[in-house]
Parts: sequence; structure tokens; C-alpha cells
Amino acid sequence: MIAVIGLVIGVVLGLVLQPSVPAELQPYLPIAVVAALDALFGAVRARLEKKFDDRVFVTSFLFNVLVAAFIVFLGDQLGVGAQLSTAVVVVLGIRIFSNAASIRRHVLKA
Amino acid sequence: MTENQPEPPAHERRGRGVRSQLLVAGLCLLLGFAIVTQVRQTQGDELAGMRQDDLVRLMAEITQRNETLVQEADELREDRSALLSGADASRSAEDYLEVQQILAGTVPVEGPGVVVQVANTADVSAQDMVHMLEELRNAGAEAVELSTVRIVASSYFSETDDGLVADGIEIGAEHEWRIIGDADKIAVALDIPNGAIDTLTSRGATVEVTKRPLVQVTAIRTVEEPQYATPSSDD
Repeated sequence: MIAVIGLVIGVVLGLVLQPSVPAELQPYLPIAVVAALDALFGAVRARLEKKFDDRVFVTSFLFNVLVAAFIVFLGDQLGVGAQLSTAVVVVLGIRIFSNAASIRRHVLKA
Repeated sequence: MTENQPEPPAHERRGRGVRSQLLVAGLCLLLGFAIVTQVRQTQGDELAGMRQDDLVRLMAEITQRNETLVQEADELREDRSALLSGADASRSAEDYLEVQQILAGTVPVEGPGVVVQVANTADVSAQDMVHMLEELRNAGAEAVELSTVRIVASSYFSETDDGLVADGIEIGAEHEWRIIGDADKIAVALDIPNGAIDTLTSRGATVEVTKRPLVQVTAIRTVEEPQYATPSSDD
């Protein structure tokens, strides 16, 4: 529950402060957000399966974000940034979908 | 990538909970913040969120599109000027036609000018009439009518037993020149010593020159199709 509150506060803060993204971070932020969303969905699923561990969540969250950003960075250096970004988004998207499917099964029992 | 796989029973870890709970909340806060920031960024400026490669490609596309449009604009401008000059050509052709009609005497005309009445022309020669006409032309007469004869480029004078003839038509002992042009200039030109009028009066004719604001030249000519001459093409 405290996580949901944190999320809401973050959204409100973002709306209130209206920060602008530094130019160096601009390629990484969208990918990082998708990676973090993946971690979040994984956490929700683990919680519903009563397997939630906050340490795992924290590490997976940070690790997901870092790896995703690193892949994008590597792609940029190799000149395939756009393609690798797409690849990361696709993979994370698939994971989010499968996690969402598990969540649905738990919530709706179907 | 990492997964929230089950670790040893969650209940054991509950105890040290508050700190990591806060950490989880903090991460979620960060996530919400990042999502909102990114969404705003994307909505705010479409270009700002784009990668360098994409920007370069986009710029190339825009440059190309721009070139195409510039080319198109040039073509349209050319078309426009062609059309404009075409309209000019048509207008000047109309003007030209009008000038030709007046010169050829195929249309009745009117305007300011001079009326010259000549009587007692018994001793006036065709040469004197030509002299008179030349003076009128030199003075800028634009249309000339002698009694009922429209005087044009091909007009001629001759003498017969019955008197003077212009273009085959007798003009009698008394005739009237109706001249359209700059009245002052024509009157002065006719009046110069040893000029046209001097010559006529020296032949015993009586001449009366009247300047008029409106002279009507109603006699017209029909132009015959040239039998031998055809326009030569310029190129």
C-alpha cells in the first residue's frame, strides 16, 4: 500500500514540479521507465503469489533500469541505438504482458 | 534480468520492514515521477524526445521536401510570369490591332483636331495636295479625311479634266480636310511660310483653318487581302 502511495506522490510531484529532462538522459528515460514498469508488474505479481520480497523488488527495479539504460547506451555507441531501444521495449513489453496475465489470473481467477 | 522470484519465507523479513518499505515507496515515487516527466516531455516537444539518428533522418527528409517545394515554387513562378506576359501579349496585340485599324482607316474615329476648308481649287495641282498631306503627316495627324475620302498610306491624288481626284473619287472645287491630331501643332505646321497653306493660297484658293475639340472622321476603308506579300517568320 505504501508503494501505491509513493507512486501517487511521485506522479503529483512530477505534475507540480514540471521538471525538464537533461539532454544526456533523454534517450534513457523512456527505456528506464519501461524497465521500472516491468519491475513493478513483477512485484505486483509476486505479491499476489505471496512471494513478494522488498529486497528483490529493490534490486530488480534498480538492475532493470540500469541494464536497460546500459543497453541503450551501448546501442548508441554502436550506432544501433534506435533498434536496440526497440528491442528492449519489445522484450520488456512481453514481460509486462506475461506478468499482467499472471496478475489477471490471480485477481479474476481466470 | 532479475525477477521477483521467491526468496525464503517473506514473513521472516517483515521485521526489518519499515526501511525497505520506505525504499520500495521511494522507488515507486521515482517511477511515478519519471513517468510523468517523460509523458510531459513527449507531449511538450516531439523533437526533444527523439534520438540523434532519427533527428538526422528527419532533417534530411525535411531538407529534401524543402528542396522539392522550392523547385515547385520556382516552376509555378515561371508559369505565372509566362501567363502574365501572355496576358500582356494579348493586351498589346489588341492595342496594336487598334493602331493598325486607325492607320488603315478601317474604323471611324474621332478626337481633337483641325478642319481645313479649301475653296476655288481650280489651279491647285495634285502635287500641292500631296504637299498638304505630307505637312499633315509631319505634324502628327493620326487620321485624315478629305471630303468623303479617308486618306491612308496608299492614297493618291491625280488631276483630271473634271478636277482633282483622290483615290479615284472627285473631290470638287471646294473640299474639306478633317484631321485628327494635335490641333496646335497641325495648325502651326500648315501655317508656316511657304508651307501648305501658302502654296494653296498662291494658287488662288481660299483656305480656312479651324481648330476643333472634336473632329469626327467617319469615312472608312476596306482593306484588301495582300496578294503577294506575306509576313516573314522571325525565326
